[in-house]
Amino acid sequence: MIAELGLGLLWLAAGLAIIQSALGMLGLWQTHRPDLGNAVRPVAVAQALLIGLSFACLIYLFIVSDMSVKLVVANSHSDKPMLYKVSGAWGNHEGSMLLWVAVLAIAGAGIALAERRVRRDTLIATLMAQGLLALGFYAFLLFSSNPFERLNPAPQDGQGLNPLLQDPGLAFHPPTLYFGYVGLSVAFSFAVGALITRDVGPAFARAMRPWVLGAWVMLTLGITAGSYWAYYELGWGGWWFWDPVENASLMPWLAATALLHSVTVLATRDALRAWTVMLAVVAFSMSIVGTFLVRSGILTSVHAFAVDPQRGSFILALMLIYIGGALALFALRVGTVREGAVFEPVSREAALVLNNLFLTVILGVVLIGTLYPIVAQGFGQQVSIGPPYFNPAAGSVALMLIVVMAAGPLMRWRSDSAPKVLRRLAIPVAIGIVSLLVVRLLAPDMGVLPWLGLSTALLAGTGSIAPLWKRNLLRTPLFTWGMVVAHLGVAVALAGMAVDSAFFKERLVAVNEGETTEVGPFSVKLLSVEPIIGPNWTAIEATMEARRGDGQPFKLHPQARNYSTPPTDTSEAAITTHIDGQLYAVLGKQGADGRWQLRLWWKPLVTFIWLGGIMIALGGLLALVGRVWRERRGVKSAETDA
Amino acid sequence: MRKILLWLPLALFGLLLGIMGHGILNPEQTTVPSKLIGTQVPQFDLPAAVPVMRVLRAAILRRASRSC
Amino acid sequence: MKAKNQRLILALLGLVAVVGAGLLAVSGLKEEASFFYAPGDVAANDLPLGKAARLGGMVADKSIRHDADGVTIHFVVEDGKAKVPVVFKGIAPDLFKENSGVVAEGEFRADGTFIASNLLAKHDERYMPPELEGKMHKSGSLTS
Repeated sequence: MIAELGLGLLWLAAGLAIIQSALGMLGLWQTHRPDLGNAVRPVAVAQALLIGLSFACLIYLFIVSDMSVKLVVANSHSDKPMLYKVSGAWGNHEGSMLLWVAVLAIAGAGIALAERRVRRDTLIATLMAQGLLALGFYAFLLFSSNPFERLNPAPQDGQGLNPLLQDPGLAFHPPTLYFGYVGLSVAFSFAVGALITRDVGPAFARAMRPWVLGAWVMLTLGITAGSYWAYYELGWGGWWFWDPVENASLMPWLAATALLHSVTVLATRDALRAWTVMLAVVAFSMSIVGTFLVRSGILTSVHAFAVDPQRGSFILALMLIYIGGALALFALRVGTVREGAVFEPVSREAALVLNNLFLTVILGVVLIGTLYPIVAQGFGQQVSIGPPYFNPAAGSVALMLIVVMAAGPLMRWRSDSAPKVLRRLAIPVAIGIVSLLVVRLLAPDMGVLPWLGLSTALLAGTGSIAPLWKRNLLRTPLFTWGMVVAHLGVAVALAGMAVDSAFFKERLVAVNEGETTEVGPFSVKLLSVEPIIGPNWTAIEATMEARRGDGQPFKLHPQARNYSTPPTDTSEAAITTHIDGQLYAVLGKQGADGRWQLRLWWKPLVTFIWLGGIMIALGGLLALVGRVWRERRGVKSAETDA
Repeated sequence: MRKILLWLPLALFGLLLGIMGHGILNPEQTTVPSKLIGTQVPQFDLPAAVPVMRVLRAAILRRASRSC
Repeated sequence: MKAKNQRLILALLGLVAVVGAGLLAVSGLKEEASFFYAPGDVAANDLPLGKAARLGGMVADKSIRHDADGVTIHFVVEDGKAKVPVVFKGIAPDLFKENSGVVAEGEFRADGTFIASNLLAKHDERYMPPELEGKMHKSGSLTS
C-alpha cells in the first residue's frame, strides 16, 4: 500500500516537474500572460512536497522492514538497529537516486520561496531549468531504477545485514554529499536561467551565492568525514588514497571552491561574468561525473558501489543533454552578455582569478589522472594511477594556491599596489621563510613536499588571521570571520598533512605476549590475545598496554574480526588520540612460532587534518549565515568585505 | 579566436564524454583467472552425511550433465 | 585597460590553466603510471625499476617462506608461463595462500625480485567444472 503510494507520488511529482518546465517556458515566451510565469513558483513547491512525501514513504518501508519491497529485501534486515534501517533507505542505488531527486526538488522549492532579489524572468528561467533537470532523473527512476518495486512472494527477511555498512559515518555520508552535489544544481539552474534572460550580474551572483556556500559546506563535511572513515576503517593509517570514488567527491568540491570565490567577485564588483556562469555549469557537471564514476563500474575502487553499466549509460546520456546543452547555450549566448568591470593586475579580483586558475589546474590534474586508466585501456595497457602521480602534481599547485590564499584577502578591490601588499604580508612571509630554514635545519631528511607544505601552512596560518589585525573584532562582519576561519582551517589541515607524512613512525613486528615494542615516544607491551564474541561477530582481540615515557599507561584493543552474514573479515584498529597526534595499532596474524604480528603507528598532528576540514566547513557556514543575515537586514552595502 | 574559446568548454566536455563512454563500452578485465578454469572436476566420492541422503561422487555429476 | 581586452586575457588565462593541467598531467602520468604485469610479461631487460608497478598471478605451490622477523614473507608468483619471486613485509590478507590468486603492488628490483608494499587477494568465483556448468545455468541457482 505504502509502496504504491510512494510510487504514485513519484509519478505525480514527475508530472509536476513537466508542468513546472512547461509553465516556465511559456511564462518566458508569453510575456503578456504573467499568470503563467507566476504559477511556476507554487508548482515548484508542490513538486517538492510530493517527492518529499514519496521519499518519506520509502523511509517508512525501511522502518517497518516491509519485505515485499525488493529494495528493502536487498538492503535491510529486521535485526538491524533502527538507525541503519533508515540509512539503508539511501544506502543503495535506487534510494539514493530518489534522495537526489528529492533534494533537487526541495532546492527548487527553496529558490521559489526565498528568492526575492533576482529579476522575475530570471527566476522563472531558473525554475524552468531546475524542472528540466529533475525530469531526466525522474525518468531514470521511473523507467530503470524504481525504488518501490515489489517482490512476490515476499521472503522471510532481508539480505542487507552487511556489518561494514552499519557505521554512523557511513549512514550520514551519502546525504551529506548529496546535499552538496545537488546543491550545485541550483548554481547550474541559475546559470542557465541567467543565460536565457541575459541577466548575468551582481543580483544573479548574490542569489546564487548562499546555495553555492551551502553545497560547498556539505561537500567539505562529506569529504572530511569520508576521509576519517577510511582512516579508521581500512587499517592502513592512510587518510587519502586518490581512489576514483574519493576523487569523485573531490572534483565537485574543487569546482565549487572556485565558484564560491568567483561568485564573490561577481557579486561585489560585477566582474568575471562569463567565467562564473561557465564555472557554475562545470561545477554541477563534476557532480554528475562523480555520480557516474561511482555507479557505472568503469573504474575499480576499494569503495565499490552497486555497479551497472546500463545505469552508467543512462547517466552519460543525461550528461550529454544537460551539460552539453548548457555549454552550447553558453557558447551561443555569452557573447551577448556585456563584459564586467575592469580591474588591475594587482587587486583582489586578480588574486581571486589566480585562485580560480590554480583550482582549475588541480581539477584538471585530478580529472585526467582519474580517467587515464580508461584511456590507457583503449591502447591495451593496464595501468593504475595513484599517489605517486597525484601527490606531486596536485600538491605543488595546491601549495601555490595556498600562498595566494594568504595574500588575497589583504588586497584591495579593483586596484592595489604591489609594494603595499607585500608590506601587509611582511609578517606571514617572514614566518614562512624562517620556518623554511628552521624546518630544514631541524629535519634535513624531510621530503620536499612536506617541507614546503609545513612552511606554507605557517605562512598561510598567519596570513589568514591578518585581515583581523587592526580591526574592531566585534564590528567585523560575520562573513569575514567565516573567511578567516575557513582559510585558517586550510592552513591547519595542511600542517597536519605535512607533519604526519614527514614525521610518522611505523613499527611492524612479530612479538610474543609479554614483549614490548617502541614506536615514536611510546612503548607498547602486548599483554594477551584472546578470542572474543560480539553481537554479530567473533574476533581475536589483543590487549596492549602503552605508555609514553613515565606517563600513565593506557590500554589498546585492536581486533581481527570475522562476520558471518555476509562472511567478511575486518581489522578493527585501536586508535588513541593524544594532544599531539594519534597512536594507531593493528593486529595481524599469528605465526607458526606463536608470535603475533603487530603494526603500530605514531602519527603526529594527524588529527589536524580533519580538524582543519571541520574548520573549513565552519568558516563556510559562518560566511553563509553572515551573508544571508546581511541580505535579510536589507543592508544595501557596496559590499565592503575585509 | 573568440569563437574557438567560446566553444572550447563544450569541446572539452565532449572529449570527457567520449572517454567515459569508451569506458562504459569496454569494461576492465579485473580478475586474474584461476588456473582451474576449463579443467575437469577432480575425482571425489563423498559419503552420505545423514543416512537418508544419497552419496555424491564425480561420476554422478558426469552422468547427470550428459543427460542435460 | 578596456573591458573587451580584459575578457580576452581572462579567457586566455583559462586556456592556460587547461593546457597547464594537461602538461602537468602528461608529464606526471608518463613517470608515475603503475603498470600491471603478469609474470609472463616480465622480461629481464624490460623491468621498470624503482617505478610503481603491479604484479598479478597465482601464488606458486609451496613457495611461501616466512622470515625470522615474523613479518617478512617470500613467495613466488606464477602464471603458467613464468615465475617471479616476491618479498613482502607486512600483514598478509587472509585470502593470501598458495595456489590462490594475488595482486602485489610495489616495484621491481634490479635482480628481478618484486618488492611488494601491498597484497590484494580475492576469491575467484569463476571456477566452474564443465560437468556442472549446464546444470547450474538451468536451475539458475548461481547467487552472485
